[in-house]
Amino acid sequence: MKSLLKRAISGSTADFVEIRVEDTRKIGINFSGKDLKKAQNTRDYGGYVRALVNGSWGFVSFNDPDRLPEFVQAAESRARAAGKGDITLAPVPVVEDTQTLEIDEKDDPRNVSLEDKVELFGRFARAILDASPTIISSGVNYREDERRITFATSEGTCIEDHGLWGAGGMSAIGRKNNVVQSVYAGFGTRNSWEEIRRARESIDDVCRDVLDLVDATPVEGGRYTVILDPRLAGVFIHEAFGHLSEADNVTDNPKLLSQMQIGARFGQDHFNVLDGGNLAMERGSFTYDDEGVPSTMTYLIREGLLAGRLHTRETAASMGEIPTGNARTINYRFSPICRMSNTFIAPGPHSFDAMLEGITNGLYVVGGGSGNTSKGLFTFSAERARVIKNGKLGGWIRDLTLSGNVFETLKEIDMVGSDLNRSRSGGCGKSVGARMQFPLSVSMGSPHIRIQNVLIGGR
Amino acid sequence: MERIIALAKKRAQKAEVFRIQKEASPACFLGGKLNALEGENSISTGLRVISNGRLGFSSTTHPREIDGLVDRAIESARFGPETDLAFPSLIRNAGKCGCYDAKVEKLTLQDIIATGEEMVDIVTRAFPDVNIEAEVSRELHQVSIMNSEGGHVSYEKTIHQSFLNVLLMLPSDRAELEDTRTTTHLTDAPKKMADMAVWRFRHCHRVAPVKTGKTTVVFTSLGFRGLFVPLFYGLNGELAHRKLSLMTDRIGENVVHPFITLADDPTMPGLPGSCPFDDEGVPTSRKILIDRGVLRGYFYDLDTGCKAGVGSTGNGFKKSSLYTGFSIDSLPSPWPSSFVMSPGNLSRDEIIRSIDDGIIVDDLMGAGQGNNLNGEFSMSIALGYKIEKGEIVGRVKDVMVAGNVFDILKNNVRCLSQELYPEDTLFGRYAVPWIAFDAMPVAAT
Repeated sequence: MKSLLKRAISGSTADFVEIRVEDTRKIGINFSGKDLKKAQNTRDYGGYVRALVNGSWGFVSFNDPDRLPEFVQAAESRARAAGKGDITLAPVPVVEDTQTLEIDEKDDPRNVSLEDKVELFGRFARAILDASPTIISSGVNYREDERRITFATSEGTCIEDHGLWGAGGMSAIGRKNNVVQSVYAGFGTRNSWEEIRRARESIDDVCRDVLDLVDATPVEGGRYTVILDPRLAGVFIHEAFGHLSEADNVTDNPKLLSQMQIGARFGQDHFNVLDGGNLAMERGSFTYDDEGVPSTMTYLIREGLLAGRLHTRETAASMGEIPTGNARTINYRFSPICRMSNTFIAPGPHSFDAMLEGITNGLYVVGGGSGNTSKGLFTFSAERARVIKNGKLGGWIRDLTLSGNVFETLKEIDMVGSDLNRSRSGGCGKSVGARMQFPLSVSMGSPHIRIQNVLIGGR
Repeated sequence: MERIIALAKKRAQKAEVFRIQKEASPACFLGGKLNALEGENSISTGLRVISNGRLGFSSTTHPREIDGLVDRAIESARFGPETDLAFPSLIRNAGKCGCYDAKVEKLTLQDIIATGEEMVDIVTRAFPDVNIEAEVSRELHQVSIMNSEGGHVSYEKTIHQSFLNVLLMLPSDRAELEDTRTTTHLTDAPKKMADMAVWRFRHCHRVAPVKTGKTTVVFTSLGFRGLFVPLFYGLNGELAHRKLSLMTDRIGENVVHPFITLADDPTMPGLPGSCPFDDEGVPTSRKILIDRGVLRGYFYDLDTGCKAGVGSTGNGFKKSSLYTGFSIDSLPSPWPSSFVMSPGNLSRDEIIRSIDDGIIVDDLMGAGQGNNLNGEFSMSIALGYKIEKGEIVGRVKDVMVAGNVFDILKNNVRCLSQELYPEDTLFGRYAVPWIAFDAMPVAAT
């Protein structure tokens, strides 16, 4: 495949051209209650050619590699038809590399048959339903993607990559009188079936938590000091702040750009936020991004000050900054755009007990995190919370949302715990123009954090 | 396709191959400037098999993969749902049919760019400081479905699509609008959409106060999309058969106001859901589901139509959720092709002039996130305008509107507009006039 790509590139007269071919095996399993809704194994094979001529992009995606020369021509002629543009690419090192997928044979998810996978998740589903008559339904899903990529550019970069992503989730839905509540736990792996099997340890937790939650009291809206658990804090930093760090979100928005100046104060001195793909075996990890740029680790906020942002080669050139290896695409149907990888709040010095101390009337908010963010404003629903009264944890609270302005809220983070925890499942969505790219494998991480003065509403 | 069927038939009793070839050419504008000219040249194949009474499925986008596709479909049949469905034996090549327009196929890259530039120009002439993303695309689809019962149908279809996302920064606030128009034929929909964006933003510079209480609320076609979701569920034959739909066992009853007539209409020219066959090769037709308020029927695919004992209505489409379009790795399930609500007898202007005090809802936040089975909703208005004494006086801000979709369609309908434009939204396809409701609860928050 490498030589096929190199040959096709050599026939091009574009200023720059890159070709990607990928082959993905996708397994999808889905249980609703005890019913198996989906158990399938499909193949997604295809590629794209992206060409830059006179500062404009031409892009063509395809399924048939035998017609590659024709698609190179089509991408080039589109770039020419787009006329003169102002796109340039930041320089990056030329890379020739082959990445292999190394997995212990006995623990390889690919060696577990679809039948055995269905059997395992069916057991999860039944265990949740059988835990209590109060649990009226459950959901268990699993998705496994094994992907091989060949990527080459006219600059001489040529990379073969091979990766595996397994991830799923389980939810328990409980009802008492008219109160219906749901609790979720995610799980995932990059290389180990045992890690997926160990998810059974979460079954007891989701069942216990949902039984607590149907007895919980609805929240009383108002402003509170809150402690966020690592899961919700991770979603918060990804959604409310991480997307603002994607350079393509600020390049066309002068008002936002003026707020996102490097060196501007975003938090207190102990507050650090990073994003990078170069961690081992995390959900958002990769060796090269989808422009062949080696993954890095970028400080987005360092000691409270804005320190960096996430770039593609195009955005790095347009802002005069350095590529960070954050150009990513969900598959060959889309051009790579600025995306996060593993985003997290760095561990700090504070213990959970120290955070509780001094809170007279607060909330310990746990899990969830679906919601809306829009250029600085956020609204998240949380899964659940516990009352904090005079430094002590009290009863469960349900149906709450957190909202605010991210620039103000980040400055209110006054304590950061030492217990960093990253998500192993889930994905990120982002639209450019009319098309949504979802789900991209990322991880969201944080220790426990404490935030003053958060607006809490009911649902 | 014949070879896939032949190979699958050796290992299963029945088989069906679905193939779609697609050519698309979108032009993408970011920050008001042309950023990229894109193209898609795809071929996707899905295989369903019935083996020992169970349904198996797999798909591939490799143009020449056969053995792997058959292996995976047969493997999945071991856990598949039990089914008695019969694939149709119809043979027909509909070719370049009613959902095909040669003018769309012949659009050049320059034509596509010019349409995008025209949209950007219309909006920026009125509002120089907006941030615009725009996209214009032409698509050509060739669909072919073949099965082991001798059935083989095919057709070609064109799509012309335009998209706008406009962000208007106001002194202490912002207004955002996202809109899409999709048609099978070449129309002036992109220009109309841009004109409509200007019309919308003209009302945004002043915030008009709203009092909590009951008032007249007009939903534009775009505004109503969030409330359409419960109707998808209510009229879904599978949910009706499983008695999960609120419309279960109510054929012949007055389920909504007599002003409301709703058809699933895959024959209406221009609508993007129009097609001669569904994704199971069953011929489609116009079906009145609600006739002047009276429930007449539901929509079914082959499997659910078979289980309900009524047969398919030609509504088996490969789509994974309300929020996504066609997907090759989804099994067909019941979806509307195009919901079309019959228009009323007042113009939009006449509706506005007839209202002394009310609200127009143009976009709802969290559309589709209410309780879609029972129709309850309570949503913030993302974009809406205040009407006072027959005129629009500004936009509304921080206002919630709440109710039950089925209740308001039965008890609160005031009138429908005579204008009816095809709309394509996140949730699928529908054409709906503006609808005005009386005495709807709204809350200033």
